[in-house]
Amino acid sequence: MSKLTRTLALLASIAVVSTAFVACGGGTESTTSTPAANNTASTADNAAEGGDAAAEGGDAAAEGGDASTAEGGDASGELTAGNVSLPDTDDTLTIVCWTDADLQNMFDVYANHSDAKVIYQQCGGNGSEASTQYATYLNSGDDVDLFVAEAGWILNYINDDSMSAPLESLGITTADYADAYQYTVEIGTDNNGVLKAASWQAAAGGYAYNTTLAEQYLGVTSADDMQAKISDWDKFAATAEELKTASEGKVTMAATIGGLWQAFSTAKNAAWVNGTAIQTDVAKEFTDMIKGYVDNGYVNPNVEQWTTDWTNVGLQGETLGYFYSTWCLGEGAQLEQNGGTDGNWNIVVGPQEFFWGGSWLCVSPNCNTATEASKFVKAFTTDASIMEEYALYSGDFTNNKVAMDKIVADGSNSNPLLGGQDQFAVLSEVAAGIKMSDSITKYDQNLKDTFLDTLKKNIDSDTDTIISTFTTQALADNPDLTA
Amino acid sequence: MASAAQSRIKSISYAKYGYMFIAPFFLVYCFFQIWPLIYTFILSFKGNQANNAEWVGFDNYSQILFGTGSSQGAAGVHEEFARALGNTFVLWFGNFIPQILLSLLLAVWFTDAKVKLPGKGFFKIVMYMPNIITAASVAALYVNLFGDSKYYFVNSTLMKLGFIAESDPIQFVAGPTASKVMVMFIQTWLWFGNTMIMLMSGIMGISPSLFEAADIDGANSTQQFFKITLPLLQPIMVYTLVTSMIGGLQMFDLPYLYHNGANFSKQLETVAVYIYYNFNKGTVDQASYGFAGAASIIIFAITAVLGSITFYMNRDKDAIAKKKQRKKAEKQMKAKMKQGGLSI
Repeated sequence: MSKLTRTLALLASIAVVSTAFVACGGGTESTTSTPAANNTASTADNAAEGGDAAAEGGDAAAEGGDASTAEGGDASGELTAGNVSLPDTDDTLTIVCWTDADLQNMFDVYANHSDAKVIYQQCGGNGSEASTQYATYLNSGDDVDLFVAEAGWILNYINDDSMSAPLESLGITTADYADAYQYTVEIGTDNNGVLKAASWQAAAGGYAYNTTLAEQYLGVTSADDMQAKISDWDKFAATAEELKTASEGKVTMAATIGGLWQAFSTAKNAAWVNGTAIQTDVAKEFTDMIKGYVDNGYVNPNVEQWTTDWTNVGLQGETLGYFYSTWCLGEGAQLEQNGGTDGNWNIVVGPQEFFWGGSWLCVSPNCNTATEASKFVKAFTTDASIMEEYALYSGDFTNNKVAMDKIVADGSNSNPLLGGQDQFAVLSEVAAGIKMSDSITKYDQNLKDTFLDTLKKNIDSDTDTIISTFTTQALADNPDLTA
Repeated sequence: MASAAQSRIKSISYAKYGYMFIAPFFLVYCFFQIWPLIYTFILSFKGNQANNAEWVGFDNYSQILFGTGSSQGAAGVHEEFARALGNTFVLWFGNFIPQILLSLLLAVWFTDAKVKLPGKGFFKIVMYMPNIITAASVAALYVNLFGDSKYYFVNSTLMKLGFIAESDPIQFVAGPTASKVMVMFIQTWLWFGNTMIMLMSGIMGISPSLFEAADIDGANSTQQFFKITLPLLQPIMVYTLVTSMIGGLQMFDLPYLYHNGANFSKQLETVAVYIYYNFNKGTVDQASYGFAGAASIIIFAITAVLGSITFYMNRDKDAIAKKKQRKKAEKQMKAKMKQGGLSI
């Protein structure tokens, strides 16, 4: 009897111990999935979708095999991998991102060339969220081979060796990027001069406008005429006034303050932080301008980027246009979401040549699918023919001068969402002039978010108050910085 | 009569099995609770961002509490923390007071033998329902119902009915006051069912004979409520107050989730959100661990002080008086005995 009691006691205590530690395991898991909390469901879905899509892509490859051989003749079997120094123990290439649409397009194209198993994991609903949630995800021990990082915060990750590995560990070096836009390589290089990230796109931007509204209120019928009306900020404001009068204040010139900030600030090539000092000159200039815009109703300060309102003002014809980057122009991206599929949009350079964001592929130090990762990175950041194919498929301006020049020269691109216009012809000049590498700092995302938030909340205060409120908040958030 | 086995069992100490049983819990507790708690203290004395390994003494505390210290942003740090603390108290009062009043009213109605409400069970379930929905879903639901523009249900309905102009929607989500009121309302809506159930159990614990006696003596229901229900409900009320206070000071989910766009709303920032935000600003050298740690300790101290005050004010005064009396009596008795002893 006492033996039975003891056995039971032993079993019970083992059960308690094991459940306790199982619970611990669960604990860490749940913290690791916290970053994706709002997307937990969608992560699973996406993964599933990714899987499906890969399978579908496989079919597509089989079906479209003829077409691609007819076109280039050099489709599959062409992918090469570099000399990898990371392990090759897994057969699934996992890419962590928040840009599922981009990745889906890449997978669709990739499936024509490779039958490797590639999936993406969505982490964060937008760049801001991703910038903080990646840190947790990458430390979690969940499988991650490559991850996508954005200009606003990539420096946090590539300058931290526990977060990212050199591209050389996939056998990829700076020499592979002779045809790339140089700024992408400079940004992808860390403080020690090691190449850590490669971009598949050059994030040139433009002003996309609703041609129906432009004709109705401004009498503009061609993109060239539109560009002439908004070729600098004075003309932009004059046109906004004309539009306001003609539409009786129903239509704003630009959808959001955030979009205007992007166009206004990036071309100045001024960094947010110099040494440790926060620079507010551009912010001040912008605040002066925007206060006038809001007072005159050229822009609605309550509309936030990436929200339902943002989509609705476009779809309901309450704004003439948006400032978009190249990654907004593809199928399923912002241009379609906010503008519909009628093709009544056009893109022009706008008041200033600007650029916006851009995403880089970084290698996780825990990468365990090195050969496939190497092939994938090489395909989308160095291989001109695949990059051309991707540009035509997705509408994204790829990071390869040869490919983009060829598309513009051939006239092979026409974007149905833009009524058949070739956005690359507009953006290629902008892309050549991007000088971003001197101006990005690791504080950018935080400072930009803080500034725009302060500006919107205090739009009725005077400029000095807004700037000092912003500085106070920025310094509180970043004890490393000074005024 | 005792068999050999029985006498042997007598000599076995069961204490060690007891310790064996509770050991796993204590081991896990030390690893995952005690150490993190101690580490929070340690972190609160260390620097922020790139200096997170440096020992800075009370610098974080002086920046948060008084706005003076090593970084240029000290004034801003203090301002932000003060705002967060203010928001915490405003949001807590704003949801606790309506919640307790509503719950008390409903609890009294539901337990009153004279009021024969049909479908009591149904109402209780329906009122408890919101509490089982996660805050994440609730926030998503309300943000989509009460969005800031005419594209959302509440604003568009108000516009169609002519209460507000189409160009001037109510900023339920981004507006500094309206958004606070919304969060208070949602918190009340989420928690009043729970509080009501708790208060009902308290009221049902009061002996019905007291109410019957009061009835016979001619007390009306208001008198019964204030003279019988409320005083006898005090222990449950104290419990509700203390749990709600702890929950209120740590309020995180709704204030953090109730926003439009990419970032949480600064006007709803509570201390818990402040801590989370400072702890999670990107990679290790971006985060302000020191501020997060110091803010955690400060909120812990505030909770401890407020908790003690609540307990002190609501302690059972009769029992204490009785205890004192008894002690006094014992003393006197002893003194008497002593005297008696001497006299003999």
